[in-house]
Amino acid sequence: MGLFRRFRYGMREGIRNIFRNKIFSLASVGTIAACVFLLGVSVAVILNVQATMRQMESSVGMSVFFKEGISQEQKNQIGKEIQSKKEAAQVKYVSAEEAWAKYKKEVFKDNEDLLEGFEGSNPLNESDSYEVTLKEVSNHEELVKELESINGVRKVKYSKVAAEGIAKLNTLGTYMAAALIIILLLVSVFLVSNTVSIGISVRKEEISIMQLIGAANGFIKAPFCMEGILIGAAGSAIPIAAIYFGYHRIVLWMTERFYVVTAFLKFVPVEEVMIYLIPLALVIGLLIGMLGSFITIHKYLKV
Amino acid sequence: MITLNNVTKEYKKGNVGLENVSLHIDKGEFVFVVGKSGSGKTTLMKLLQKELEPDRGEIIVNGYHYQKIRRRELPYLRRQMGVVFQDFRLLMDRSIYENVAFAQKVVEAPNRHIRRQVQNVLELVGLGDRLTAFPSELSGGEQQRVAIARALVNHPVLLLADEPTGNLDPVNAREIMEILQEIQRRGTTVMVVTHNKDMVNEMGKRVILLNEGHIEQDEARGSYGII
Repeated sequence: MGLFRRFRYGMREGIRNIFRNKIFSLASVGTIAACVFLLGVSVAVILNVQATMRQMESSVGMSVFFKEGISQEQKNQIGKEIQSKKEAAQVKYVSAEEAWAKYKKEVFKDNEDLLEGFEGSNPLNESDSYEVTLKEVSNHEELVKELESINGVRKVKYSKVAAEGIAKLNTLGTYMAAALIIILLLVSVFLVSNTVSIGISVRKEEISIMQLIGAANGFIKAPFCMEGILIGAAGSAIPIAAIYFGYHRIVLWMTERFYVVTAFLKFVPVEEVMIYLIPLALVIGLLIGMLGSFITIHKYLKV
Repeated sequence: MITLNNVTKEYKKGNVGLENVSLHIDKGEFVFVVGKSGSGKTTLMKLLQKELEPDRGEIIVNGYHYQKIRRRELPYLRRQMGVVFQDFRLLMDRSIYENVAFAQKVVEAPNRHIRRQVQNVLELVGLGDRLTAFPSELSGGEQQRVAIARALVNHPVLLLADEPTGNLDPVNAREIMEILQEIQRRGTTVMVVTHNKDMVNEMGKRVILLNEGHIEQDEARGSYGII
């Protein structure tokens, strides 16, 4: 009962505070919204990059070739050993015939006449292999070494450039987004704190009378904390809505304009972005709001 | 009700607020505290409200030992006392009723009692028919009566009044004093800091005279004396 009343009182007075200094409240909401928006865009980009990477990683595979003259049994043994590595997602045996057929198809697609001399023979004889797809690309070098050390393995081929590029791009993007978000977080906390201090200075007399009458500290704090929470909630709700409704359009736009690039990209559905974004944005928005107001009113009451 | 044992409060730069002051005030007493500016009256009031901490000595009010009170318990001490100021300190953007009800709301009194309590206490100070007026529409004397009503509505055991008649003409001042006396008659301990010589002499109450941080005189039926 007591808590509910304090909540209701805090809510009413908190809303009054917000409307009493609209400009600062708006500035706070705006900064939090910008912060959460960037966060949301980063989340969306990261999720999409990850999805794309997963797709690319499954094609960035390794080919494991055997030493000459080893038996099929040995080859099976090697296959089992590769399978046991935790980085390996899929291990597929490709016979020399399959390899040649694939090669012919890819390279001599429209020039089959060039193949005439090869009829009946397989230049890739002894080139059967395991094709290994990876779960993630970041630790591929180690895996290459491990695979090369297996007895009976002649050579491990992999697409080094692609693997490293993807891994680096991903880390760089994450760092940059994180730095920007941290800066904006600090700015938002500062702005909320400023807004709340204005609310406090407007109500200085009221607060000092409350203290004299014997209002509990929690009661005095309630409106200001509520003010911060409401600002935080508004600041995170706006960008969530913006991203939810904007996401489709952007994906559509990108697919139309840059279809060459987007052929490689894999877009995740907006629902998947929201699953991560909504809790993250709410937590961050409310945290900024609470932090900014708690610190400020706490400091004021202590002095 | 109030006990001070060897209380000393010094300010920075060596200014003395109170020096080694001991006094005792019983429950239900009416006490005037008088003295020149800088004699320590305000320091005494602030110490009793626990707005200031003494450097030495102990203060006990209504069983609360001030040294032992933690910050979070302070509001509950403050609820034991009502405070009235020279400048009234009303909230100008709220009606008379709201000003008094405010005191009940901030101590989170049950809603169903507030209306009746506020009505009762405003009748006690003679403003039972002005509930919807705003402070700016009232005379100084009436504003002070609202302030007294606000101080009383939570049923304090002690009423502290700091120059309650300082801004008022003699007629209004007399009315305020009569209200304070009525409050004492109903069982509340009343302590009034004042400069109003005539009033003190006329009422024949206990008078504590402070001078440069010391109690110079403490008489049961005193007068303002020589100052």
